[in-house]
Amino acid sequence: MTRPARATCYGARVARALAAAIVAVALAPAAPARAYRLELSARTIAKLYELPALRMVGGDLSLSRRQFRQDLTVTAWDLGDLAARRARRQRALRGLPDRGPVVWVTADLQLDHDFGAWTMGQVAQGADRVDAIDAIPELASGAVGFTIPYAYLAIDRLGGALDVRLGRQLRFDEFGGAGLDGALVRVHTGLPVAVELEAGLRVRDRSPLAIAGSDLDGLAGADCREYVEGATPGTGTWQVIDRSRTPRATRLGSEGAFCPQRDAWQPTVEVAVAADGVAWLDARVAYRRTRSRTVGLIGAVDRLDHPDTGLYPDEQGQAPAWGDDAELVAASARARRRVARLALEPWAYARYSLLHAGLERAGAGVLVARGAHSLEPEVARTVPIFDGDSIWSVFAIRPALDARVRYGFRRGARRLGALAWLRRYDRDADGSGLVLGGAASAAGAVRAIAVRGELFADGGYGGRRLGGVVHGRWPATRALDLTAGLAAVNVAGASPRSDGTSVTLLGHAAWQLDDGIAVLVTGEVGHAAIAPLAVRTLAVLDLAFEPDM
Amino acid sequence: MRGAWLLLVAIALALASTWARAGGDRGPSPAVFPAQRLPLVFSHAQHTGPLAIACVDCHARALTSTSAIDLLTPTEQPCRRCHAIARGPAATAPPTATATGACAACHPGWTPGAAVARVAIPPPGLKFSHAAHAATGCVTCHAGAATADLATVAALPTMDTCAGCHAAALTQRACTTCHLGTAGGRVRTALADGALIPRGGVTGPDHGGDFARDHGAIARSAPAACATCHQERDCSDCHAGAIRAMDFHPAGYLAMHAVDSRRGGPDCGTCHKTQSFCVACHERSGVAMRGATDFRAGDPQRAFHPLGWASVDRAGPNRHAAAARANLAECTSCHREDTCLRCHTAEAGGPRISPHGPGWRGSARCRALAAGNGRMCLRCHISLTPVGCDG
Repeated sequence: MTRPARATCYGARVARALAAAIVAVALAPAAPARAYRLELSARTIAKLYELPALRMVGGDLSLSRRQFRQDLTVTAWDLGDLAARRARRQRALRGLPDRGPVVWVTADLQLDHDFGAWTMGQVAQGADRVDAIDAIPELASGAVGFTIPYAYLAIDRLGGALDVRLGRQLRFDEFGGAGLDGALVRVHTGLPVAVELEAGLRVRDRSPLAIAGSDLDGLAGADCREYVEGATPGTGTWQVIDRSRTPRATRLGSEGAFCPQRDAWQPTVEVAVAADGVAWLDARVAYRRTRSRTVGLIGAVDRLDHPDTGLYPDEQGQAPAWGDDAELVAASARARRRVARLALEPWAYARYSLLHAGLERAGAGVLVARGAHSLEPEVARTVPIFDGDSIWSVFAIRPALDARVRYGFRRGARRLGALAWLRRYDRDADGSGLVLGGAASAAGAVRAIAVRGELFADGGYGGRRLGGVVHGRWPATRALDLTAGLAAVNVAGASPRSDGTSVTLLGHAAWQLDDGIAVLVTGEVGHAAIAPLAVRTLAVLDLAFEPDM
Repeated sequence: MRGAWLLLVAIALALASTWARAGGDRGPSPAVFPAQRLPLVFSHAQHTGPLAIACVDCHARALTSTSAIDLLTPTEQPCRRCHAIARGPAATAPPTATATGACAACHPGWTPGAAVARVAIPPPGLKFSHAAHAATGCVTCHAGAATADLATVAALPTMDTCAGCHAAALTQRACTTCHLGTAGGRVRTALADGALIPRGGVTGPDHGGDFARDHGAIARSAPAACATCHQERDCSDCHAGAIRAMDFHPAGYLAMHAVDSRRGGPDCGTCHKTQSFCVACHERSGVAMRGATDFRAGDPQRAFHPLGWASVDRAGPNRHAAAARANLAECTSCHREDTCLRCHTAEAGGPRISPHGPGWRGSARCRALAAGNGRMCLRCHISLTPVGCDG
C-alpha cells in the first residue's frame, strides 16, 4: 500500500487559508465604526551575554548571545459596543454583573533574532566546520523567528451560556503548556459544572508562526531518518535522509531539520468537565487526544533505485495510516474550606496516559493557613513520558517519588519561608538515587529598601549545592527603582569542570519615563569555575497604554 | 546527629509557638484603601452613642452616592447644627461659642493665622454605590466606626465583609463588579498605591515569597481563577522565555541548574522541552555527543561518564541502564534517539539489545503503544514478521 505524495506543505495550506480569510474580511460590507476599548502593549527586549562552551583542553571558549525581541500585544474589547450599550441601557442597575455577550479579540506577536555566535557561528564536525544551525536544528528557531503565541476571537456568555474562542490559543493546564489552532466552546450548563469542547490542530514547533518548543516532548530532537528498502522486503535500514535533495532548504533554516513527520498536522480534540460557579472548589476532568497521519512518500527525496514505500517500512502495509502522539486523561481538584480559624486548601491532580497505559504523574497536598502562617505538605509521583513517535516511549522506566513541605509567614512586608524536599529515584539495588534539600528565605524592609535573602542546600544524586542569594530594592524616586543582588553558590560532586564556587553580582534599574513607558536595564557579572568571567546585560523598553477610542 | 535533632525540635517549637500566637483579620488592603491623613479630633462613639445621632445626619450624601470616588466626609455644615464654631481669634468668637466650637477643638495643633491641616482621603481602587446599599445598615460594613473616635481605614470593609452578602459574586468570579477592570475585562491589579495581590487563605493564593516558583499546582487546578487577573502573555513571558523573573533563576544559575533539574519542583519541562531546549544548548556548549566537544568516551581523562558506563558488547558494569530506568529524562537532555538506537534496535546486524525491560510482552503498555502508534515500533522492528505483544 502506498500513500500519495504530499501535494503541498503545511505552510502553503495555512497561507492560502489566511489569504482567503483576509479577502473575506475585505469584501465584507462596511459597518459604522463602534466605540471599543483597545489595549496595546509593546516591548522591545535586547539581551547580550556570553555562555561558556566546555573544553577539556585549551583555553576557555565563550559564545555570545545577541538576542533581540519585539513584542506586541493587542486586545480590542467589546467589539460592536454590545457591553457598553447594555451598560447605558441598564444604568439604573449599574453594579450588576454583565451577562453578555461580549465580543473581543486579542493577539500577541513576537519578532525574535539572535545574531550572536551561539546561533550564527559554526561548530566542528570531525575535520569540517559547519554552521551551528545546520548541525543543531533547534538553534534555527532562535536565530530568527516571527511568532504568534496566541491570536483569537472570543465571545463571552453568548446566549448567556456559551464562551467561544476561535483562533490560536495558548493553554497552561493539567496537560502542561500547549497551543491550539482551532475552536473552543465552553458551555455553562446552569448546574455547577461547565463542559468544554476543543478541537483543532495542535501548535507544533514547525507550525507556521509557532513558538519554538511547543511540541510534545521527545520528537523535536529526534534524529531525522527514513526507511530505505533493501533488496528484498523486510531487509531495509533506517538511514539519515539525504538532505542534499531536501525540498525545503532555506538560508535561515537548518539543513538537518527536514523531518517530515514533524511537519505533519496534529488534529487534537479535548473534552473537559469542570466545576463552574462553585466558590469553594476548582475541579476539572479532561481528556485530550493528539494524532498525526503517517507520512508516506516525501517527494524527490524518496526517489530511490527501487520501489519506495515511504518514510516507514511498509512493504506489506504494516505502517499504520495514523498514530497517536498523545492520549491523556487528567483530573485535578482544589478546594477551599475554613475550619475554625484554619483556612484549608486540599488539592490533588493526576494524569494518566492511555497511550502508555500508565499513570504519568500524580500528586496531592494541602495548604493550611492560619493568620499569617501557612504550611503546605505535598507528595508526588512522576514518570517521564514522551511523544508517541519517540522510541523512548517503549523504554523501561521507573517512577520518581517526591515529598515536599513548605512553610510561609507573612505580616506586612515581613516574610519568612522554608522548604524541605526529597526525591527518590528507583535505582534497583543501587541506593544512591536519593536527592534531598531545603531552602529558607526571609524578606523585609530596612528603611525604604526592601530586602530578600535565601539560603539553600541540596545534594545526593548528581552533586551537592550550597549557597545563598540576597537582593535589595530601593525606590530611589517615584519613577526610578534600583535593585542590587549578590549570589554565591558552591557546587561539588557534579562534574570536575563545574565544581567550585560561583559568585554573581547583579544590578537592575527600572525607570518609568511616563505613564505606560518604562525602561528596564539589568546587568550581571559573575565568576565561576565553568566561566571565570561571565557578563550578561538585558534591556527592555516597555510601552503599554490604553487610549480611549 | 543528636545536636541536629535538637535543633530541628527547637525550630519546630518556635514555629508552633508563633503559629499559636498568630491569627486575626489583617484588615483592609492598603492598595485598595490607600493611607489617609486625618488631622482631626472627633469621636464617632460619643456622637452615635450618648447623643444617638444617626450616621446619615452628618454623612447625608452617602444615601445618594453612586461612586466610590465620592468624598462622603461631612463638611462643617452639619457640625454647625449643634456647635457654634468660632472662626478667627478668640476675641471675635460669637457669644454662643463653646469649648467644642473652638477651632483647635477639632483641628489639633492649629494656631491662629496658620493654615489648617488638610484632610486627605485618596479615592479607593474600587467601584461601589452607597445608594444601592442604602437599605443596609451602615455598621454592617463599617463595623468599627460607631465605637471608634476617628473612623480610619480600619473601619472600612474587607472583601470578607462584602462576601457576607454577595457570596454569589465570588462564585461567579464577577470580580470587576467591584474591582476596577482592564480593557480585557480582567481585574486591574496595578493601582496607584500598590499592586492588588491575593493575600492567601480562602480568598486565593498568596502571591508573595516563592509563589513564582510554586504556582504550578494551583495554576493546573484553578486556571479560571488565574484568568481573572492574568492574560496569556503573563504566562508566555516566562514560560516562552521572553523574560524571567529576577529571582526565579537567580544570578549564576548556570552553575546550579543540573542539580535543580533533579529537584522536580518546579518542573523544568513546563518551560523547557528537553529535546528542543536542553539538547540544543548542551550540544552547542559541548556537553553532548554531537557537535564540538572535548569529552571523549573511553578516555579516562576526558570521559564524561565513568568508564564502562555503556558498551555495545555489554562489557563492564553498564551503569547507564539503571540510570536510564531511574531518570530517563536526564539522559534525553543530552542524547538524541540515535544514541540509543545504536544498540537498542532489532535491526538485523545490530546488537539487538532490548530496551523494554522484563515483562514487556503481554504488558498493557506494550499493547497500548502498539495499538496507539505502530510507527514507533517500526523504528526497530522492520522485519515482516509481526512482533506483537502476546506471548
